Amino acid sequence: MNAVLDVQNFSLGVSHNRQYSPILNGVNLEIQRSQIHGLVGESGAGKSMLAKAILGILPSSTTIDKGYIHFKGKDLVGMSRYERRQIASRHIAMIPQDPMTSLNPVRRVGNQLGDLLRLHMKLNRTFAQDRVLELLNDVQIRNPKRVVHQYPFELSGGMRQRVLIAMAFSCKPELIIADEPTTALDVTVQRQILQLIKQLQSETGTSVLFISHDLGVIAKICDYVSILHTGNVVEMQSAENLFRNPSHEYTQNLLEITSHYYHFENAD
Amino acid sequence: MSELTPTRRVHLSSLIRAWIGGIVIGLLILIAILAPWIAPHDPLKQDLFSGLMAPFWLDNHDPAYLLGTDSLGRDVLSRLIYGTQVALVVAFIAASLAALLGTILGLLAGYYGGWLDTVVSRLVEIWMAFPPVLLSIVLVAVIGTGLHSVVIAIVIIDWTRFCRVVRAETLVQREQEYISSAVSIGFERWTILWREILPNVLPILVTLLTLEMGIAVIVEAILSFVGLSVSSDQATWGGLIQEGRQYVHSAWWVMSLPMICIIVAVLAFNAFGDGLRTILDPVMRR
Repeated sequence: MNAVLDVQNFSLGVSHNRQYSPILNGVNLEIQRSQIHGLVGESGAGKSMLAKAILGILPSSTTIDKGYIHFKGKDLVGMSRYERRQIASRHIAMIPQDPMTSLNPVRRVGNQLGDLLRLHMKLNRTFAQDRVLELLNDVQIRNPKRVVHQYPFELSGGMRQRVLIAMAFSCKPELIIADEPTTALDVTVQRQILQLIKQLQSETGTSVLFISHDLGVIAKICDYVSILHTGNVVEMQSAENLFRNPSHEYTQNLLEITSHYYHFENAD
Repeated sequence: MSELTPTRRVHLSSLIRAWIGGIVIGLLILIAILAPWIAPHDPLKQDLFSGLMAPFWLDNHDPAYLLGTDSLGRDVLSRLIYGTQVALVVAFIAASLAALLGTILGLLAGYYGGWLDTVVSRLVEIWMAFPPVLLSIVLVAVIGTGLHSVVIAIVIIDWTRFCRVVRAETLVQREQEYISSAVSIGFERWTILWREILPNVLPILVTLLTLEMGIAVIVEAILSFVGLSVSSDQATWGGLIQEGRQYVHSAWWVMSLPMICIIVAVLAFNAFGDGLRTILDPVMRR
């Protein structure tokens, strides 16, 4: 089997005040080795829910109705926390949406990275410290020796996202879930972060599930794209094909709106 | 000359508060430890011929008794000094144990939720329904007097303060993004609780702990006042107040001086805790 991640017929819903509303409805998705796979959808389409389901951090109000998520042939659905720690945790990492809240505010950056290395790479304290510096260097943080001793609030959003990227790549995962990793950042930083993810991905050969609502961002970075609409993947194509001749009506509309938007912006 | 920003000003004032509180607490600790050497008299030695002597700044004083004597002619200063021992021992031990118990239950209830949370929360609610002072008096009356009973009574009554606050704070922290990150990374539950959540709860916990030390001083004084604390031959601030109460018209100092001691100690603990809270907050710690 070549696919790193294979989601088949996956459905889940949220109960709120005893009222159940379905969110994902029979999603199929396949991510190949060393692929950056874009997942596009509007707000509320269920992109983040799918990401959380893969990472095993669904809120308790959600229920998985049917389907499976195979990671290297093992089903992540219904896996206990213990099994997940043994099998999946090290190999599936994430780059979160909001770098501001995704680091523990009262712990130094270096310690947070170091803990991760000691857990998964079984490094001792000294080796971990050295490795943390290397990792921060890899994500182009200019002064790693100072940053390791800093608290998250002392870093800018872009810097924090770099730290989180370093964390994501630190244990050589096979799959990284990047859930709108650039949405909270301004445009110039956005570009640097995208380049960084792309560069690290091609160096390590990790697969990435790149979630975004921004087709422009997707076009820059992804090899393959899935369009999520009304709880379902309506189209799964290579990025090139998708932008040249989209087959589903929703995708066509989406592309049209996006190009209008860009024309409008350029004319301004 | 650089301008003080608002945060810096807040920080500076809480730094001063923490220092003043800390210094006073430090002095009290020194007094308690050095009591046998610095007390001018044996706190229990009676001198019936020189009862109710005035302190040094009033007429009718004896230079041998700086702060006067009580009705049995015992030296008030020495009794205050020895009273510090009981007050501080109770403050530190009782408050720490109450904090320990409350924090453990609060963390577990807040983080694991479910039936554990239900049980702990209901227990706290039932506990809060009892009037605390009455409960402590009943407790000590049942388990007997003595230092350990006072400590046990305070722990049993006041763990709920810690439990409520820590549980609420844990609930808030549990929903934060960095916790779901830690879960997805694959840290074990107790690691997350210990390493990710506890440090975030710590500032509020320290504040509460020092406040509780102040409260413990008061509770101990109340119990001594009604004669349910340590054995009556040992000097305590509450016991002094109780004795002085009878002579308050002729010798006000016997009652007022220990009151001042209690007020100073409680204020010191509060100032220390309040200052520490700001200092421990990493966002303020620049």
